[in-house]
Amino acid sequence: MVLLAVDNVSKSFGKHQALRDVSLTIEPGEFVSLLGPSGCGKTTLLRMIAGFLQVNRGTITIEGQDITHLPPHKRPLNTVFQNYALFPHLSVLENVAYGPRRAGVSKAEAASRAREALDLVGLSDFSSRYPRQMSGGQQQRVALARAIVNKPKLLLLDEPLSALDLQLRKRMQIELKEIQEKIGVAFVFVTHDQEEAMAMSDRIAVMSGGRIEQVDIATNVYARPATRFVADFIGEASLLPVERQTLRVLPEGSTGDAMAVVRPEHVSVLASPPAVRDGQLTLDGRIETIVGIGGATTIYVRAEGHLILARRLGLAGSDLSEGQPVTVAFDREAVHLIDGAAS
Amino acid sequence: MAIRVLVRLVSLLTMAFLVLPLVVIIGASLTTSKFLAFPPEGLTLRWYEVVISDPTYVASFVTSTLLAAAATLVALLLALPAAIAIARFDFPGKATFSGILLSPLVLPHLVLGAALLQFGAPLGLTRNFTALLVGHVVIITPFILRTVLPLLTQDQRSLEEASRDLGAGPFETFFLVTLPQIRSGVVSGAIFAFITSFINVELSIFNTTGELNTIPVQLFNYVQYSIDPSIAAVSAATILAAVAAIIVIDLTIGLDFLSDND
Repeated sequence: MVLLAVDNVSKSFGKHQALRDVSLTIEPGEFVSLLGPSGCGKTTLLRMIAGFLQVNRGTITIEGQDITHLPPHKRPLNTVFQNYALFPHLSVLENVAYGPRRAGVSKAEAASRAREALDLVGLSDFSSRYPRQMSGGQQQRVALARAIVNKPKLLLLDEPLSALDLQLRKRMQIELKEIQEKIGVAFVFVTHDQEEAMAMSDRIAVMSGGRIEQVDIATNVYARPATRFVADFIGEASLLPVERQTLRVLPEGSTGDAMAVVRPEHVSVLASPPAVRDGQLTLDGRIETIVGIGGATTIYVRAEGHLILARRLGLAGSDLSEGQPVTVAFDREAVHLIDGAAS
Repeated sequence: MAIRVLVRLVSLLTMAFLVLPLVVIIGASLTTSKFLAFPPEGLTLRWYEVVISDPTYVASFVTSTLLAAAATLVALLLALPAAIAIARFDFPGKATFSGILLSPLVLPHLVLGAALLQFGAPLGLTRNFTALLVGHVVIITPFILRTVLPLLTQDQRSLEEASRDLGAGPFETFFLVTLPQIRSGVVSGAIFAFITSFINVELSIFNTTGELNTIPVQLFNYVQYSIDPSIAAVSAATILAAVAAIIVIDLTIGLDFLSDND
């Protein structure tokens, strides 16, 4: 049975249309990320699922029950807020026990449930502290404990890791995923960080301009982008206008009947003489820039007016230098076609 | 080092500037002379006896206290929802609405008092406790609004959302989350409001009578005809009452927030 179903939901703020006919379903226990640049509508969608914003049109159901017009405190879900939103006047234990207390649980029972939740996030020794006495990472865990203590079916997370530094963020990604699997709650995770979404999600919903562009498993979103936006937004890619039948690459400025998405790791840069294998597509060009970032090197080649990205592991070989004429080659199988002409 | 001594010196001078008038009043109230004198000529509690045995003084003291307490309570009940509406919602005429609520801060109370006397009559609002109460509520509501509004921040709003998310209804959220967060503004606003009501002459004077009088109006009337140490005794009693009230507030709600930095 579907846990959450968002059906044709639209929302506008004045003249600005924040969401246009968005539909999304989430299965029990699933980890789904809403990924997109700022202003794409991902937070708006999350806030409507939580009940902080009213929909203009469409319905939201949980396990078949229509919750579209239920106030937030009557929805069977909880939220981890971006800035944690811990109550500063309550201790850590009181913060976590807040949910059970509101559900009518006795004080002693609420405290014991809160301890259990704090135990799960590894903060059992901090229950008498106040939020301001804790680090960002610890506050993050308290917020998580507070949100899961009532055992909701669905947890909404609004960029929960964005305030943490890189090291801590990576560690929390793994930890969050472990906790999610342990308690078996479905997560809807809002983020603008594609690596984060890739690392954690079962499925990713890529959003842009108030629409969901694609919902799919992470590898598919990367390897088989549905739209030009997804191809461009997720990872790096060369987008080349082609003839659908022959895969012939058309020069910059022309419009083909399809667009080829080629990921840089599939592109080889061959110094002359080219050693082209069967089934490979080639283009002649000239190296424009070589950027090394330690573990990998990106080579930008200008061919037919297009800028084509190629990636090599390790440092650039001494065989390549900027300005050098080269041939770029990639396998036909590595090409993913999307509809529509290149602009 | 020299700077530290200077800072301390300036602080002491400032405190002296604030406290010395109170010393003069309390000192003058203890004089044995029949006129205001400082330093007091001898020490006596005679003037306090005069005040306490005068039923009009006692009555006006009670009236003033009841009036200030009632007005503060009503002002709280008006200002808190108004502040939340202004901070949380967008509605047409919002700027006008908050402008009107804050306007008594810049209007002469004398004008307000005269207006209330003139236009209150058809509503039965003349020379009675209700008339005084209405006028006082109008002038003290802005104080609470002013001290509460800046505390209703965006952060505060997400705390309220967290509370709703965890299953608390709107009223529960107000008492469990909003109120504790804006407590400092509510208490300091209420103190300002109470004091403003308690010492008001200009507005009250239009609606007081011989039987229904507030302490400042009573003093004002009294000093027009005679000046003796009993007015100093009344003032000193007021000061002592205020000190007692502050101590009670500190013991119950706590005044630590006045020096809070966060």
